[in-house]
Amino acid sequence: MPYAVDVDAKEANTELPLTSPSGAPAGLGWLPYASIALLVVVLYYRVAIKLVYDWATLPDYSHGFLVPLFAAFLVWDKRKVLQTTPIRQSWFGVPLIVFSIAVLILGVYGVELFTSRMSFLFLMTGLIWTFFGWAMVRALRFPLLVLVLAIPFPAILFNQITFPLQLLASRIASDILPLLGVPTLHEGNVIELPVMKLEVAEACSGIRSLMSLFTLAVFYGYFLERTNRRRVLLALASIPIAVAANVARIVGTGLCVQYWDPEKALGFFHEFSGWVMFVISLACLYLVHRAMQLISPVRAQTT
Amino acid sequence: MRSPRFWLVIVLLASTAFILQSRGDADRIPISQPLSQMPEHFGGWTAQDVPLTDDTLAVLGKGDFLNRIYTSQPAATTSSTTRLAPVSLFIGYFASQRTGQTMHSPQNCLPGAGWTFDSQRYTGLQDINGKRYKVGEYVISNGDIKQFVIYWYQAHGRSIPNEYRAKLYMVADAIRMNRTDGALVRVITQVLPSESLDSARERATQFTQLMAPNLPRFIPD
Repeated sequence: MPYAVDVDAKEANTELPLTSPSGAPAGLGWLPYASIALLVVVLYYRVAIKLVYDWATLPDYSHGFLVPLFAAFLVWDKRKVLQTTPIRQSWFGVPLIVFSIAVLILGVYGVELFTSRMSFLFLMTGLIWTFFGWAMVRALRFPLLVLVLAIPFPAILFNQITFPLQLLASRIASDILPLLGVPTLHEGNVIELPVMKLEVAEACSGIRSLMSLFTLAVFYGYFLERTNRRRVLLALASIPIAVAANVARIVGTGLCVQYWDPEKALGFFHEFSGWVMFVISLACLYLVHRAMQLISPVRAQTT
Repeated sequence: MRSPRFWLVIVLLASTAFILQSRGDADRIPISQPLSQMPEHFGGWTAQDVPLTDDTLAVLGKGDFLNRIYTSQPAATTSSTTRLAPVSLFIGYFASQRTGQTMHSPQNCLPGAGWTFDSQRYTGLQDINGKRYKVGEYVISNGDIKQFVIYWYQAHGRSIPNEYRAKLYMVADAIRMNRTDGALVRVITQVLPSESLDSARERATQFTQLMAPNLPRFIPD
């Protein structure tokens, strides 16, 4: 199966050097940059193929395709600042490059996808630091940081966060459903309705869409808010929103089972995990944002 | 740009590319028998397969799975009271975890199915051939129902109860041996209302001791 993805992954490789700013001087000045970019592609093409394959196949990471575009936009948006940033080559970036290479080798040899993917971001930072200086790293820190969102978190750690949230959502939903006339029997993530069981197979997974929502909240905050404090607040709001959206999903399905057609409800349940969840979450994000504006209105001319 | 820095970085990146290319991207997968060949009888125990649903298989991922309930035949036992409850055996074997395939921790699956962990400890047990295993013992409950659980991660002849240590060893073994195969072995038995916890532990332990010598055929050392 993994061989089938080679084609679109090759295309995605062209996105790799996006984070390195294109400020090459005239003439053959681009040659050193090109040779470094070529080596980076040689180093990371396998890692990139697998990453793009994961974005395409893991529904909870399909937002990965948007993240490099967003990062590229951020760089473009900052082009005036970047042009005025003084270029000072520095030896200090070299240890970071060595470190990221070590992380990459460890990740590839140890078959640890997360570390080998993260090493790409370290290497990018190290290269920018070495050839453009610390001021440039500072100017580009947000686009670099945003790229982390495209990297699937190790499940062994991520489940520690999302799994309790999933249990919470199931519990709230099974408390709400009886109020709406649907009796439930609730065991962990498994909710038994009078006619059917819900979420049996998903008993092992937490709120996996949390990462998509978090990314969405970061984008939303960047475009619609001006201060970092409020952006962080919005990003954090994605956690309760993810729980709320999951509660809505389970309650909605429960109502369909009880008052409509169990067969169709199950289809609805799975559809719901896709775009309806997205719409509900976006609406919640908007409401939280509105509430924030009501509680503490933005002072004019804040930077 | 044509500075010592530039050449240093070029040399660093090029040598890394060489190191990575020399490794390739396929791991060594040792030959093993499919888990379905696990004996259906040991001692007084007789197996009954419990098929996994397609949904469950989709969550578990690309591996070989065994899900069975072993019941002891009353005739073969002397004291029937201690062996009445059946024992469930689950083994998930992954030939390669390279593609991000990982073993699902019962720490998630069991609470997901409504069970809460009442107690947990790591301990050792010796199978009937005297081979030592490091295992985790857990008591889980759901309402009035109590179960005694033994599980551990088995890879390359090593048994590890802790999932983080198992992961660390997987990384280390991938580096040292280019192998990422591994398995989760889980034994569960119900603590009957009429029996003590120790009697359920005894049952689960005895079953594990009988079953464990079969494991190396399916989970290569």
